[in-house]
Amino acid sequence: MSFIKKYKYYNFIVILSLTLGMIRWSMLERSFPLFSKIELKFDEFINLDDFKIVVEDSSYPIIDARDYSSYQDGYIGNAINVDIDLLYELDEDMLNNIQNIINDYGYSDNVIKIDDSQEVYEIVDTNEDNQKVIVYCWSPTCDRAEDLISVLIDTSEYFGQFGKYFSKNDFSIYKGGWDEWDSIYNR
Amino acid sequence: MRNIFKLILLIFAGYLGWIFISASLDKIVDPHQFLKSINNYEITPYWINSLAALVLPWVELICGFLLVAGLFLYFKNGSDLIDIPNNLIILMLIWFIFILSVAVYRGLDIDCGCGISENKTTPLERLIEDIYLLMFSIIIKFRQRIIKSFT
Repeated sequence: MSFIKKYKYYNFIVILSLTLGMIRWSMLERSFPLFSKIELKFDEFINLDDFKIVVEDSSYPIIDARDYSSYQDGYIGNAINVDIDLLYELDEDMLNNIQNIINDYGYSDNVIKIDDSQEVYEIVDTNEDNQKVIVYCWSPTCDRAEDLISVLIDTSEYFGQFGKYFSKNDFSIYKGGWDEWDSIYNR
Repeated sequence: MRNIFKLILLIFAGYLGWIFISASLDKIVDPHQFLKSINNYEITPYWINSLAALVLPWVELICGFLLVAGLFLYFKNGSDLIDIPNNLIILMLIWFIFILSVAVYRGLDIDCGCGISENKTTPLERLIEDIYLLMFSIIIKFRQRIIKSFT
């Protein structure tokens, strides 16, 4: 008791900070696991079992690479739609969806401005934090996911607006796609 | 001489308070980024990092405000309340200096995640700055002795 009394001001600051921290935590939109984050070894492709864990954990971004109208009819977990055909037309919603992933999942941190005056950037930590974007399409024969990733990592002038945030290692494809997921979990 | 020292005290405490308040705001707004930065140090386990990412910015913010408020109380009626946030700041700075030293020793090329600058800040740059800040805190802590030495 004397310890609490003696250091009451310090205890007050720590308890107040702890309380405010927990309030902030409860208000976070993005998942912020307190004790552990799921540790999956991601490859270029992700299998159904691992993908199920990712969907349930919801701390990884998932992109639905199918067309917009199919996405409207149903999608997996918290997937965000990026229809490559609309992206080719520079559709504002699709561009915003990608930008939201960059902002919400820390991909903007991959680019550190090292010179304000000359707009010089350095790309760091593109995959060491094990943060992956999972992309799925219809089925193993559908190649929209691969096409979309090519566009997102492209650094040429036309699609280059996202190439500085992503590298190929930032993506993992769920090849089974909507068809496999729908046949197992939605029926 | 005492007045000059009081002016120095005002500058040191004001600067420290401002640094801690401004550094905490970014971290409070985006704890994910702060967590990512702490994880990069690979010194403490994940659960400590996540707890620190949520709580530490608030400790910094409260201490920053209390330091400035404590300074005004000190000038007004000689209150020693400034010691409470200052002691916590000293503890935090010692911890920061420790982890930054480990990062520098291990040659980690990471962003220090200190939250003040938008630009990349290396651990070595921040280590030097934190040593300066620790010196300021220690001067604030031993202010009475320093003032007495002038008389």
